[in-house]
Amino acid sequence: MSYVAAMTEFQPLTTPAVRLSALRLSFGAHLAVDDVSLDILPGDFVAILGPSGCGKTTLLRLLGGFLTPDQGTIEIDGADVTSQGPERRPTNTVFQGYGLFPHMTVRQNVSYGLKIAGRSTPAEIRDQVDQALGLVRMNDFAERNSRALSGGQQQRVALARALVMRPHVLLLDESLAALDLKLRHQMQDELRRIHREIGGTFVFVTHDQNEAFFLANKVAVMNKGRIEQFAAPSDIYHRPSTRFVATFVGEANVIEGRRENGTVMIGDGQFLASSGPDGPVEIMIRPEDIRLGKDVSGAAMTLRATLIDQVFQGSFLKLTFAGESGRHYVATLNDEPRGTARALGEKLDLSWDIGRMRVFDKGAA
Amino acid sequence: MTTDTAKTSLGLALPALGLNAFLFILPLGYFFVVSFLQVKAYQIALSPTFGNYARALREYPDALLSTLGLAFIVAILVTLLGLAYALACRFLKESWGNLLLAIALITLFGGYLAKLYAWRTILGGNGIVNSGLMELGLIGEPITALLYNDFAVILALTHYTLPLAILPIYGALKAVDDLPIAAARDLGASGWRVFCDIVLPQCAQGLFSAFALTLLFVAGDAIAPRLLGGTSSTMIGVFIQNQFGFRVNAPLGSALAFTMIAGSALILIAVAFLGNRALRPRSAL
Ligand SMILES: Nc1ncnc2c1ncn2[C@@H]1O[C@H](COP(=O)(O)OP(=O)(O)OP(=O)(O)O)[C@@H](O)[C@H]1O
Ligand SMILES: [Mg+2]
Repeated sequence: MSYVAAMTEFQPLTTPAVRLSALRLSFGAHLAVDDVSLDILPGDFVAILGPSGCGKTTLLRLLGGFLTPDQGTIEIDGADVTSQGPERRPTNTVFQGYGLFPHMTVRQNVSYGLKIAGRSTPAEIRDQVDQALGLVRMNDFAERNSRALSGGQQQRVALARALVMRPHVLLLDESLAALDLKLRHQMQDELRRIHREIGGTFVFVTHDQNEAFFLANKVAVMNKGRIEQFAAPSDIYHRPSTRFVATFVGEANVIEGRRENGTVMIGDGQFLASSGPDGPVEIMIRPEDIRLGKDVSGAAMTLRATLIDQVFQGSFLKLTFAGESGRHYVATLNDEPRGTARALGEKLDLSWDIGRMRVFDKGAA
Repeated sequence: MTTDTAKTSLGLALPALGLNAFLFILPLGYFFVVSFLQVKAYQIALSPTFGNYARALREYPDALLSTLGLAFIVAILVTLLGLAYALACRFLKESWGNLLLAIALITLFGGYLAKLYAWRTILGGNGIVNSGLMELGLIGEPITALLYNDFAVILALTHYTLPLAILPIYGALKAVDDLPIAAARDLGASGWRVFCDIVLPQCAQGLFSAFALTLLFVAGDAIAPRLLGGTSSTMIGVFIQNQFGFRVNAPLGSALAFTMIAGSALILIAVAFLGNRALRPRSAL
C-alpha cells in the first residue's frame, strides 16, 4: 500500500492515473469502442455503466492491454502504454469470465502473481494470500481445486487474485454479478473499504445502476461504444446530458415537444422558455419531481391529468396519469398519509419545478 | 454414486469393453500364452517354459535396447514437433491455424509404404537431395550415407507418425481456455512462463498420448527398418517377423514382442512420472 501511496504522492495533481485519448476499436465492421476520451484521477473509483453489448468489456480490455486500439492512446500515470502488453502494465483485471487456472488450487491461483513478481518470501506470500482470501470470505476453500467451485466462489477467487497484487489500477468486469444479493452487498462494502484502505484507482464495469452509484465517485455512461457522460453520480442522475443517460439511469418521463423562437410547446397547454435552435426536442422530468396540486410560485408548470393507475411499492406510491392529450405521466410520491388510496379516474393537478426539467434537442448527438 | 448410475455406466461401457476384448485382449492374450510354450518339430507343444524370455534377453539384448532407444528418440522428436505444430494451429490467427490443421490431416492420406518408398527415392543415390546438392556443386558425387541407416529410419518414422501425434496434442490445446492465459499475462507472466505454467500442464495428457502412440508404433515397426535401415543395427520388429515367418518359432517371437511391450511400458511409466512431477503446479512455494 505504501507503494501506491508513494507513486501518487509525488505526481503533480494534474497527472491522471489513466488517460484515454480518442480510443477507437472495431471488430470487422462493428465499431465496439468509438472515440472514447477519459481522464481518471488517482484514487478515483470509476464505474462504467451501460447496456449489454455497448463495449464495456472491450474498453476494459483495452485498458488492461489485451486489445490494441485501432486509433488513440492510453496513458497510465503519464506514460504511454498503448503498445505494452498486460504483463508490463501496472493494472490487474478481474475478468467477467473469471479465468481461474483450472489445474491449480485456490491458493495456487491467488499466489501465482506474487510468485511471478518474485518480491516476497514464501511466508509473506502465504500471509498475503490468506489476507486476500479473507477479504472475499474464501479462507475455507484455500486448498480446494479451483474447478470444484461455484460461480460465485470462482468470482471471489478471481477478485482475490487481482487484489493480492495491490495493483495501481484495478479493473473489474462485472465482478460481483454472480453473487446473491446479500453476498453482493457484503462484497460491495468490502470493495469500498478496500479502495479506501489500499487506495489506487478502480475501474468497475457494470450494468447495474445501483451498484455503480453505490461504489463509484464517478460514473461513465456508455452507449454503442461511446461515452455519453462522465460525471459524479448525482450529476448523472439529476443533470443527464443526453436522453439515453436520462432514461438508462433511473426512471424518467420523456415528453416530446417543439422549440420555436426560444419557446418549447409541450402540449397539454404547457410552454417553457428554452434557448436553442428550432426543431423537435425531448423533455425529461423524473417521476419523483412531479407533485400533486397546483403550483403557486410561478417557477413551475401545472397541468391537469387523470389518474389511470396506482401501485403501492413499499416506500413510495407510483401513480400513472393521462394528460388531456392522452400522454402518460408517471409520478412517485411518499405514501403520506399512510394508506392513501385515490380513486382511478380522478382528475388531479400535477406540477413540477421548471428547473428540474432537462431539454434535449432531438436528432442531435 | 448410486447403484443405478453405476449400472447404467457399466451398461454404456460394455460395448467398448467388448470391442476391446475382441480386438486387443483376445489376440494379445493368445500370444501371451504362446510365449510360454515351446516348439517341437515345427509344432507348438503344450509344455510351459520361461526359456523363450531367457533366450530373448540373452540373444537379442542389442536389438531390444537399440529399438527402444530409437523409439524413444522418435517419440521425443515427434512429441516436440507435434507440440510446436499444434501450438501454431491453436494460437495463430484462426484461419491460419485451421489451414495448418487441414494440411496435417491431408498428409495422413497416402499409405505407410508409399511414404517409405518416397523417402527411399528422396534419399537415394539419384534422389532429390543428392542431385540437388550436386546441381548446386556442393558435392561431387552422391552421398550414400543418407540411406540404409538409423537416420533414414528415424526421418521416415518421424514423418509418418507426426500427423498422428499432432491430433491428440491439438485436441488438448483446443481445450485450454483463452481467459486463464490472459489472466496469467495480467499477473505478469512472460510468454514463456505462460507456456510452462498454464498451457503445458493443461495439455499434458495430449502430449503423453502422442508420445505413447509414437513410441508403441515405432517399437513395433518392422517395415521401415527393412526398407530404409542398415544391416548393422536391425530393429527388433524384423526379428519378431522372422520368428513368426520362416523360422516358424511363434513362442520366441511372442516372447520378444512381450519383452518389447514390457520395455515400452517401463519407458511410458517413467515418462508419465517425470512429466507429472515437472508440470505439477508448485504448492505455495
Ligand atoms: N472478439 C470479438 N469479435 C467480434 N466482435 C466482438 C468481439 N468482442 C466483442 N465483440 C462485439 O463488440 C461489442 C461490445 O462487446 P463487449 O463485450 O465489450 O460488450 P459489453 O458492454 O461488455 O457487454 P456485456 O454487458 O454483455 O458484457 C458487442 O457487440 C460484441 O458482440
Ligand atoms: Mg462485458
